[in-house]
Amino acid sequence: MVVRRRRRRVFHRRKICRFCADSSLKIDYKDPKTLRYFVTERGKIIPRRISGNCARHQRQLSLAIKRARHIALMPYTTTTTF
Amino acid sequence: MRRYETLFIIDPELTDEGLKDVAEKFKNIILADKGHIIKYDEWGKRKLAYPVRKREYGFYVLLDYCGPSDIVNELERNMRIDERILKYITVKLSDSFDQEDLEKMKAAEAPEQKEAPPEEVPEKTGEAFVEEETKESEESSETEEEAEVDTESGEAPSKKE
Ligand SMILES: [Zn+2]
Repeated sequence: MVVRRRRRRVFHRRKICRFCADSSLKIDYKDPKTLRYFVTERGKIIPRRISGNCARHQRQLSLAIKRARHIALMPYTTTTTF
Repeated sequence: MRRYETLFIIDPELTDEGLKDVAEKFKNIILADKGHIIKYDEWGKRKLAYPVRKREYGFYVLLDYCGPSDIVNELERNMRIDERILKYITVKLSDSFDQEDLEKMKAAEAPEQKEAPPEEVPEKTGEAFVEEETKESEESSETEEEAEVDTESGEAPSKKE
């Protein structure tokens, strides 16, 4: 009998960088509509291990988000009262 | 020259007249510092992502310009001390932006130019060339200002939202 080894299933969805896949998608601090996809509801930047962005685009993205925060186009945090 | 953009937030409680004064002031600072205004784009009143100096809204303006590198210091220094400016951010768009790029951009914006033949200027001395170009672009930026003032008053009712 073959011993079946049960491995815990690892989520292995193929992650692709959305900015590499779609060259028409630009990273711009003046465009909070696009940037909003890459922050959590609370306004935190989603890490690239989750979003699947490549290092280069993640770098540009986080810079853009920080600029957008500075000029009040995006929140630093959302204060939610529970 | 370098090309920059400065996005800034004006106190939304200013009157149309007040907004016009702000526009004049900062446009003049750029012109006085040997810069050129490429665009003064008023986004209008927007909700801020977080309150700034107790304001929930802000009047956003995107100023696109070119000039020597110290122009940013001068502009930001003036914005810092101006009570009417809530926030600003400046980003460099291009390291090298010359008269030629500027003329190209102006030409693209206003295609219906009265027969202005492209001058063959390379033979002229650099000085004379620059002087002439500066005059021209200053004139055109003045007409731009006028046009913007018109739209401003035309759009005024939309601010009541
Ligand atoms: Zn990428």
